[in-house]
Amino acid sequence: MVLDQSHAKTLLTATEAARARTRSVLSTNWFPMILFGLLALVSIPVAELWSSTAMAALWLIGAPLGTLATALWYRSRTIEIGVSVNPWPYAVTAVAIIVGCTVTGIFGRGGPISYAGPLLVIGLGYLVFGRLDRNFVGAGFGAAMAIVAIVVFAAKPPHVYALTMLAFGAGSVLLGLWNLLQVRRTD
Amino acid sequence: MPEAELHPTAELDETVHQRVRLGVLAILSEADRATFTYLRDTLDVTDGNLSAHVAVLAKAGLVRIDKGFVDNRPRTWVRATAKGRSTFQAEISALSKLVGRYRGDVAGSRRS
Repeated sequence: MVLDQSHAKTLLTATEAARARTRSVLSTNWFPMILFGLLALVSIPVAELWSSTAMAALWLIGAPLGTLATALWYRSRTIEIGVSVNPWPYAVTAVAIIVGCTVTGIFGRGGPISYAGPLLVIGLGYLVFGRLDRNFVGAGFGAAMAIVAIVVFAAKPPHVYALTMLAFGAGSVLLGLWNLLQVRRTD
Repeated sequence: MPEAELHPTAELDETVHQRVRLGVLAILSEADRATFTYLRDTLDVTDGNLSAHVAVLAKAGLVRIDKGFVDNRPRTWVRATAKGRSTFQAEISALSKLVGRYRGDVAGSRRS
């Protein structure tokens, strides 16, 4: 085989460019980040001004509906752009987050586990999503949320639900907007 | 006696060692599947050119072609097989070795 090293370098560069472009297209996640961030932010006044039962009802209805909307959004995006990842690891992680949040929320009985547990599950879930997407910022955000969950579990500050959901909601919306900006720039 | 080290070019795969074919496998190493249109646009090739290269990869068992319909429109999906993924990794490894060897040669000639 006739080959010089500069040709090998050119091939490697072109290959890495194709991989990077595909990776960037596939790591688009602004829709679920903004959707679940807004859901968390909306749940703060519901919990603070109304009741924790209303807040739990909001999540029990909002989380499955949000997951369904996210699945439909990814499906239409796959049809539009023509490239997709294996959806199963994402679906399993999403279901694990919903089940984990429901179980810790219900069995926490209003105690520290009922607010720190769901946040820990969400943080670990985002960490998995970030790992799957090779999105270090998303994975870092998930790890930060998991650490916040452990800190609030130990410190038990007042208005703990509002504080944790503000951190999660605002962070998620900001990361979603950042991702949307990047997508718009590359399109 | 130590075994003679093979030159990295000996590890290159004749089927894969081509810009478009390597590009197809590169994209499919990141994705589960990609449409023919996505591959064509990303690699900036013509339909005929891509068809010919994808056919070579499919014949070698490196990719699988699935035809279907989305909203009554025909759509061709291409997926890498397990053999395709491992062949791609081996090719990238061989190319990297070759480039590394080149860098070593250049550094050596600059020192001398």
